[in-house]
Amino acid sequence: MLAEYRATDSSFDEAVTAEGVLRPSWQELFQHLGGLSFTEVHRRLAQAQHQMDIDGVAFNPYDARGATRPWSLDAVPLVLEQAEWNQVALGLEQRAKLADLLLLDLLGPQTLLHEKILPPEALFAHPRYFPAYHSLIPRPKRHLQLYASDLARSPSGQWWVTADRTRCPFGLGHILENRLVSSRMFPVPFGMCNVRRLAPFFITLQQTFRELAHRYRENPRIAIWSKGPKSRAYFEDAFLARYLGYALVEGDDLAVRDNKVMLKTLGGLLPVEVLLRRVEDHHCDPAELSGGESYGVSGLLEVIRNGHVSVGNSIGSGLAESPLLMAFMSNICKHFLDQDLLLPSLATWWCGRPDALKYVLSNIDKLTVRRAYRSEDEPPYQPRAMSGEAKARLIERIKAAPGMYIGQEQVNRSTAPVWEQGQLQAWSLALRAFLVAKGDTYETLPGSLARVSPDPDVLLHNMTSGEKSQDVWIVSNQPISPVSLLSVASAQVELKRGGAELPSRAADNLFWLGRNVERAEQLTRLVRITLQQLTSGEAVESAASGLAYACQQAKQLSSEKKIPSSRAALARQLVVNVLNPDDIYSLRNVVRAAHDSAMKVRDRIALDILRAINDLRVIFEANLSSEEVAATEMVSALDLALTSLNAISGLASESMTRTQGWRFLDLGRRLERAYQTARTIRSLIPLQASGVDSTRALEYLLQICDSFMTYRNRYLANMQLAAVLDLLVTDDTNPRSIAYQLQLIHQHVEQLPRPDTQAGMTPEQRLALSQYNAVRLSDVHELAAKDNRSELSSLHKVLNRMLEKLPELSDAISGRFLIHAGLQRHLASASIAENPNPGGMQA
Amino acid sequence: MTQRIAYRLSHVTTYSYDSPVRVCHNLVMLTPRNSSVLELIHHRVTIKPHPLVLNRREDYFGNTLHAFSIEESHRQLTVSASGRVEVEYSELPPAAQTLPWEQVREAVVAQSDPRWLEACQFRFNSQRIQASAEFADYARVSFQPNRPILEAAFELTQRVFQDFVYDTTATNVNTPTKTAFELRRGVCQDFAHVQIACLRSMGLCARYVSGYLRTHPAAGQPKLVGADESHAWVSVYCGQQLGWVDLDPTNNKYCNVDHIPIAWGRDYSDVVPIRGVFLGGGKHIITVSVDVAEA
Repeated sequence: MLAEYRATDSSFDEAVTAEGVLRPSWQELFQHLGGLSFTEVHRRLAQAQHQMDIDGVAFNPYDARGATRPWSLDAVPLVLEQAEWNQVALGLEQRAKLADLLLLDLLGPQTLLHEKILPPEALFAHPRYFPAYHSLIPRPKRHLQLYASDLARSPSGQWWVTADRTRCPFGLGHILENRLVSSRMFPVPFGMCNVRRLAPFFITLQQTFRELAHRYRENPRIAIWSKGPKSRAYFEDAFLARYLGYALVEGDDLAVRDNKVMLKTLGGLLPVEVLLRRVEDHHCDPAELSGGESYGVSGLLEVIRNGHVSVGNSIGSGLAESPLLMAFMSNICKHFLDQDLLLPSLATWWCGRPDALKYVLSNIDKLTVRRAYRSEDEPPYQPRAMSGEAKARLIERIKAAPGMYIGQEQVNRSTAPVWEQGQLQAWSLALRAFLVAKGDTYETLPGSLARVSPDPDVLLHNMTSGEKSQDVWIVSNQPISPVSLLSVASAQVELKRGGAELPSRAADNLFWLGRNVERAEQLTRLVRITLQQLTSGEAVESAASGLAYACQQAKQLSSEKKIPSSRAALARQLVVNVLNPDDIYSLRNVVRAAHDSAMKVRDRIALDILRAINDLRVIFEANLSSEEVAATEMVSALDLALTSLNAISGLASESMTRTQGWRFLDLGRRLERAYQTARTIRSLIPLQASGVDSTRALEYLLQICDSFMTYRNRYLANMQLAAVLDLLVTDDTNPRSIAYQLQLIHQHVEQLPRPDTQAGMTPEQRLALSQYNAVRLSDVHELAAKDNRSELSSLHKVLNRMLEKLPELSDAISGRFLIHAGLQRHLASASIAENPNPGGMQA
Repeated sequence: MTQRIAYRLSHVTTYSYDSPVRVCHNLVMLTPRNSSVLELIHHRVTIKPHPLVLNRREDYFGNTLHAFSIEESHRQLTVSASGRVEVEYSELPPAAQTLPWEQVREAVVAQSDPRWLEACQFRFNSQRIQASAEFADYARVSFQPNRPILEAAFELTQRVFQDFVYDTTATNVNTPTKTAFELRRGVCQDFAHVQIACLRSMGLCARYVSGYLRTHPAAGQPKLVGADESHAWVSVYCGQQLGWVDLDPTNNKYCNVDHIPIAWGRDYSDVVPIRGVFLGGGKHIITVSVDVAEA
């Protein structure tokens, strides 16, 4: 295998020397790989890929094209020798310290500006600079808990820094994931090579963030403050939260109260001591910074100033990632440390200086051009690869605002062996190294995020497609002692149960997940049986029209349009409606809503449930397009859907611990099931029941409510309304009956947290109990009896009342537990302009 | 001749809400700023209902700021700022004798002006003000080569006053400067933003000043526009000797004893008199009363 590996002559190769000899640190790995057949490597790689896809399904639902993690993991790890890495680490540690000193200075005494080491543009012209950052100087005086550096190796073997990352560097979660997969893929060489472990770094990270706490240093509440499921980093946020044991929160989960940052949970507001921030600086506090953004926490900056919460990295630390700073890094290093840079930056020219501008414009084809500040993720420009016209436009833009651009030397990146199409190929390499603050210095992660691509240009930008990632093995000639995060705590862990710390937002999503999964299930049965009847030859007309009416009631058929008289047309219309992406009530969108809720709480539910929900969504989104699906095809799709739905129900009841989270999920399901069952009964057994083939209608009803078999076992083929109603309404041994649901709802509501001061029953307790009692006290024979106008008035009275009260109960629960915070708005400022904008809101 | 005028200030802002507000977090910038021409005798900011947290501090530019949070349910919020200041008349040199504007600009850019660092942060784009060729074209009519800076800057003030219509319905507090410039309409905030944008587009340093105007004009003088509310104007850097000179494009005036500065910043966003967020509340109505009387 190695014999065929050809490194290019012009670049440094990580695995082989210029003479084509394998470097010593790679020998162990290649010896092992050489002993594996192609098929074996393929098998292992496929398995690893599958594992990552499963994680991917769980973690990046919003982008089917996979923009959150476009790469795949390569079969070959990247091997670096420890002695060499230690040298790099020294340079990295110096650089992290410099970045921190730089921030302390720019947001403090500004000696770099006074002494003209940095141009004032470095701070004041930054498009995301806010003077408020100056007042947030943290204690201890450090801005950066985490720092990352992008590295490239030139043909001489020298490592160069291509970018600094100081805000909330992206990639740690991916490094962990790569390691988990790669160590499983090649356990033998991994064990033999003395690969440095990653865990000690994360132990330091935990230690560092713990020490940021102003109170409860032993066990402070630390949260990863994420931008939420729609952000690219969410996979990593969720992954890190699980790995580090931190709460995963979004801006909406947090609130400032009583001069503290509080986590909104079911049990009330709990103070948070430390936030590991993943939100952009200027979005952190809408009350003081840009405003109008949904990621932030209003009032946060004032709490930081008062010293009641710590945020790492500090708010404002993103200012240190401006590419223009690289032009001055070596002078900054001399100023602060009186040293040379151990790890040089790529030569950089800031066009704000006339001589630099001249240089950049006259050498533009040899340079990479980037924005001087990092605000949006903008790809760099490669003028040599641009059309004449595009290049001219770029030059015009640079001339118009030279201070906004830099030119940067290009680096001929090193290559590394990559397993591609059954052979080893030499691809260009980019590394991202991570450091964490420790004491008064920084500790380097013995590993990196390695990205490889056949096109070196794509590596300059962030995480683009067409590239792969490699696990980075820093190998030592000494044996490695295994460490795991689990062994950190020497003291015994305090055993915990319950889950009053469940954020209200998570409870809300679990509740709606329950409701929508259940709704999807009932709708699926209803639509399936309706389509079956419409497409089978023996259906009875009146029964089919009863089902059509039930579909209308369930909003799967428009009640405005006339029901088509032809069965085929009706079936057609039903299929179109069920799959209608524009109708919020369509089954397709109910499934989508369930999926969305599940994704928002994916850190709280089992992977298997997520997978089943994803399968379900795929059935409605990918496999069916409403233009072509025949009714019969739809029926088989619905069969599949029911399989997934059953899997979800089974997993939810068998594999979730009975925490408050589960309780909200189950409450949602029970409420929805009671509601749907009542509505289905009302639709299929009309007030004036005459003229309807009641035997058929009852059969359908039992099937939709999934109680047909039970009925057959009890009563054989003898269809009677009273018996059916007993089974579906009052029989509390049937898990499908309304009584069964109401009993559970009543029990759940009794178990919900409530203030100790509460006297008497809460509205939701009262509603739950009264509904439960109403059903328990009803007499099925009376319900099944017609009144003197030969109408089923008592049945309908009970059903109508239930259909009115259940939504009230749902609202009462939401109102008390799920909506901690209303809509937050900005004060208008009438004091300047007399004409506040409509509604008077600034936001 | 030194002339000193004492003023009694009273500024009451009331927010009335449709439904109760449960929580609010606010920042208030209403305390006049001490300077060589202004002495703050006394001043206090009172908030009703009583805030749970109230901090007074200086912001990055040295303006006084009150930060407060209220966590009791309320339907009305009142912020009252009252106090007494003394303002001293300041003599400006004849505009024709000031430095050529390019010289002022170059001294800051070349960092040879001893006050370059203080001045230069007001030279760059800020949240609400982006320099552009359009602003520069408008400004250039006044900024002819080698013209004394104050002469050019004051002519610009006059032109903004003449070319723009004071119109309280054309813009709102969030109207971009560019839009106000195109409309040729707006209120004091827009006038100030437009002139600052013009000055910065010429490479000069200019800041936004919020403050008050005397409510009752001196004998024989007309009442000034914007006297019954917070006002805003422009301050332009004229070099080391002369420093910052305040100009009021809404009233076509040099600022002097009729103007009482509260705070300065790069634009309105840095010196918003009252800002914040609140939960609940429904619709809200704001009433403002400002009284600045000679005492």
